[in-house]
Amino acid sequence: MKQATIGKKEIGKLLHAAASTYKVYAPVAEADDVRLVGLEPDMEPTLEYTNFKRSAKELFFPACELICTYENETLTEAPLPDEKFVVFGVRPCDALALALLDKVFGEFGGSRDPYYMKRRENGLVIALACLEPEDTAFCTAAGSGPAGTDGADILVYDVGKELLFEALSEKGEAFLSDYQKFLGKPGAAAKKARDRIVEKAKARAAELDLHGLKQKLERNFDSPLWKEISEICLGCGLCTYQCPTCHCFDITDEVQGRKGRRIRTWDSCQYALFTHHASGHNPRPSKNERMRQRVLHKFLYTVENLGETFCVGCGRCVRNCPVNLDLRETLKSLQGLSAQDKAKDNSGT
Amino acid sequence: MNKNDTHENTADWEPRIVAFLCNWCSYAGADLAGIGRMQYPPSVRVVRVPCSGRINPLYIVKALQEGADGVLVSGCHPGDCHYISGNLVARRKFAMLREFLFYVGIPKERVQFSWVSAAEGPRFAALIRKITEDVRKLGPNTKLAKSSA
Amino acid sequence: MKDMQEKLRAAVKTLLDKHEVAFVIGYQRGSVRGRSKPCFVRTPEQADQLIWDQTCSNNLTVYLPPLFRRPRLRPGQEPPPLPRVGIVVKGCDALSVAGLVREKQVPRANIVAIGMPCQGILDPDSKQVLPSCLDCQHPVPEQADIKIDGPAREPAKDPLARAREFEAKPIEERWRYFAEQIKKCIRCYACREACPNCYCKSCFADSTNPRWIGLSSEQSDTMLYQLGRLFHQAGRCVGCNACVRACPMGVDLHTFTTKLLKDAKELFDDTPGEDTESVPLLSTFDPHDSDAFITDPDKQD
Repeated sequence: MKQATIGKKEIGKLLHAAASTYKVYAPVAEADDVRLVGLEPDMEPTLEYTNFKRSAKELFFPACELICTYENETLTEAPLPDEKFVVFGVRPCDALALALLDKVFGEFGGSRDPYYMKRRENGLVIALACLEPEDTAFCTAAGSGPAGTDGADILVYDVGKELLFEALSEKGEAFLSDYQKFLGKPGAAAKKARDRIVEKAKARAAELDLHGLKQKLERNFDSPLWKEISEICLGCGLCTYQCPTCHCFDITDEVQGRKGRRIRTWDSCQYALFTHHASGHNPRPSKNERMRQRVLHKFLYTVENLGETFCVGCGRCVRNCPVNLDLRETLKSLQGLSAQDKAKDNSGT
Repeated sequence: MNKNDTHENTADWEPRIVAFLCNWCSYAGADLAGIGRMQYPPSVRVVRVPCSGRINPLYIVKALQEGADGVLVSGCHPGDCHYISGNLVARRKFAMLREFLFYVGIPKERVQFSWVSAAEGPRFAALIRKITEDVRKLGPNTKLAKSSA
Repeated sequence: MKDMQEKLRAAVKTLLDKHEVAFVIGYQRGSVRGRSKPCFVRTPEQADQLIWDQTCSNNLTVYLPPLFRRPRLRPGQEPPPLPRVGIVVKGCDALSVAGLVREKQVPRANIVAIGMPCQGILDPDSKQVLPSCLDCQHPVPEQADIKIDGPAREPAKDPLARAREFEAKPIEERWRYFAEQIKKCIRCYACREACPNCYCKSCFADSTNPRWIGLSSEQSDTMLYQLGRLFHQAGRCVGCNACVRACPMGVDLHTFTTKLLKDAKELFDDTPGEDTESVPLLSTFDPHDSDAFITDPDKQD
């Protein structure tokens, strides 16, 4: 089944039914916030949100993951996650972020992250297209868009009183077939509304111009602009934690006597100690270098290594930065740099 | 911690209390209790420190995290500190720490402070008896304890 | 409010014209609705970027300690001169400045504080005054060098009300609430970086030898981080609520910082930030401090 509809009021029924086979993560209103949570029988999913504070990456790449335990001479590897789950309601930007993370945790550099990849195998992603993205979002400029189709198994369109499901993968099709008793065939009006959403998304103007940024970044490593940009940064790392494509991690051992465990946790290039060497030297001693690293990693190095910009324009860093350090403004300033010969650039400017 | 130590509130459970004792007074007092063959419950694991002023509040909270059911800090009586004022500076810290931990939900009986001098063997034994009973009534500490504790 | 903004800009222009300061730290228009952002103003022309309104939420004092950190010197090398800087402060921020001067992190003579009476910071979405601002007792920065005239909130009748309210709850309810707040925490450390008092070059939370705080997402580890950081503020926290505003997940730190302020006041009659001369309460002692909390096994309960 490729396309199907369901009344908006019935979506709870579908998800609760799915919850008997899968672990279902759905948007639920909590206090003053809407969060993606494991759906319990007494919860009702909601569609009243623009985006979640926390991205879906934590469902595939958890903030803390057990790798192995050991006692005396015996090491026991943690079992690979085997729970089948469904994530409903992520926005296309967050779904694209998963497709980007697939490149890092997939075969990049010849090594494969078994935990992340197993979760991707086990997880079904149902994305919800945006009718009106947040004012801090710049998804179109970053290569995604309100109706982007990357990274998801099913894309859902809000076509008025109904939701229109569109399968993007075999997994998605199989899901729609399994739950066809909740679904109907899309009528002409629904299909038209879906097409309008797609057209509107295509016609959406890029929120900023990122053309040629890569070349400028290549040639301006020593620009004094980095110091200006990072002057108000607090170095808190909030941007990296909320970013759906940031993926740096730390591995630590927690030892008690003759037993211990090894865990992987999120880390952030914005922390001062991130590149602190055992010798005491730190090649990124101040906020300038760390801010520069973050921008170059996302807009230059990943482009060179993986062919992708590691930013989906979700706008979380913009909205939540305590000092309102706006990545969009940063990118605009960087676009003002010259892509000309390095020697010319750094002469006295 | 003994491999057989249990963390659950079973019939076998015995309170496990970490005691930070200052070397010059309280540790000597504990020693005196031992020499005098005074009986007190074997619930206490002693950590000897040079002065009660050395105690970083993190030690206390960390002990609770690692599975201690109670924490005791004992130093010289005010005025008798071997380093003159270590215990006086510590006194303010402990007062505020105990209040703060109680505020977030750690019962006061789990974290106790006392002054025991080198001559007070019986007082030390009585102190251990008291804190062991206080903690026994509260049951095992699960609040700050880590899952691997 | 616009009047105060004009006066502020004029004052800053004068400071820069006369070269009395190297730069002024203030607020400019933010790029997100309802937000402002910090800015560093170096020329009189740039002073026109400065704004003043109820979106000026950041505690700018956080930028001061790194400016005055002494670098390592080679033998015979003269220390570089310390800058003189201007800084726009609300009442709460002014307390932070006093706190930093008291702890010798910032020389008073090198600061020109421009005081702005505050009516409370507005939540960018709801446009209501933030709950943590309602408890404010110092809406007017008394210790400022340049005082800008303007309306201010009424000081709260009981700034410690929240702590009193929380203390009255049963212990298990308090623990549940604490655990609920901890559940929201993602360990991003925004609270630490926004706090002017967290100026340690090496933070206990980052220590690896010994590792005080595990990195896992377990409640226990996150609790230890929060308890550790908050208790490091005992007797030092001035209640500026920069941590509360920086937290992206809405962790209610205000309830816990208010307790520290209450104990400082009621146990030791100390209000951090009120002056620049006193010693922080945990760095000193009084021979008559109370022994009420001490366990005395010889006393019958």
